[in-house]
Amino acid sequence: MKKEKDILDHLQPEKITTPSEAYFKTLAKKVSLEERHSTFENRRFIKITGFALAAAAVLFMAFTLFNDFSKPTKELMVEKDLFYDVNDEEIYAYVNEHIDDFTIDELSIPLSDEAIEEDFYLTDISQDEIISYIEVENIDLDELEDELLIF
Amino acid sequence: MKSEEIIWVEQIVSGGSDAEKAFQALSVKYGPKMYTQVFRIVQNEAIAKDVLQNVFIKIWKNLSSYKRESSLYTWMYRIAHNEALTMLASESKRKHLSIDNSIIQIIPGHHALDSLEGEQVYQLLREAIDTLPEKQAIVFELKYFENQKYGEIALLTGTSEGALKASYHIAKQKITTFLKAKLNH
Repeated sequence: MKKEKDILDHLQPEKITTPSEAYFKTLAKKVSLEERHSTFENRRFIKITGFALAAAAVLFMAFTLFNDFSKPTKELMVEKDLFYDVNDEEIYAYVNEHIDDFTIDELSIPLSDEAIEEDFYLTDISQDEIISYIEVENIDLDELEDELLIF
Repeated sequence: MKSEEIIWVEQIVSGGSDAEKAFQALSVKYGPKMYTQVFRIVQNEAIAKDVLQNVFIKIWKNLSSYKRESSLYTWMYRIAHNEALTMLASESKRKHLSIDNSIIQIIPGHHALDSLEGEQVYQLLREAIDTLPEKQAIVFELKYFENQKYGEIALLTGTSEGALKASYHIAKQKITTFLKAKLNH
């Protein structure tokens, strides 16, 4: 009995036509050029991004270190701007005329504890100077008693 | 790996003035083999060329990570195989893939094949090849489809001729068993 051939022997592979040598050369050249350009662009992007980040960091540090946070806020600046066209005499005259319309808080100037100490407790003036001033001015201390008690 | 290939790889990886020429030499030598390998999977000339371009890009980009644990051809075969399957999957999803020409023809005389078209049998053969380990698949493709001599395959894969003969024999047996099972022979 004749033995049947293997399945693979009944299959005939077809020849596949490949592109020319020039095609492969051109493709290789195209790929290498494009990839080199792409690598160059990536490196440039990384470099530029690096510089930009460094510059941003320097600006942020400069802002943080040198910014004067004691400056008035924008809100206060706006209030000042509102009175820009009015001179001090007009403001004083208005306040004097309408003094009853203002509360004590509105009229008082906020001072820090240090400022109060310096201005109100006369720390820079010696006791002798104060006594001689009272004598020279002939000030009656009994008259000032009530006023002095407020402190 | 042969000294010629070592020089090409080093020149390409160094990225110097000789890199482009070395890459061209590598492409001329292995391009046709990779093209036929890819074409047998996608069966479309335009798509095969697209795949080959992607393969070349991957080779250019990743050659520095080639560890020489396998032959350069085996390493490139793997890239081409994966790239072709990826493209085939995406193209099949998008549209019905047009087949430019069949890969095999049936020689009449085998009762299990007589009622089938060449393309139907080829799809089964493709499935069978995909079940093989990489080295057996390479040997089978180069020997069965391209009728390469064992000596040439040995140079490409860095494997002895004896080992290749054994691999081809095992691959053929596996494929025959697979096809018989599918064709209810």
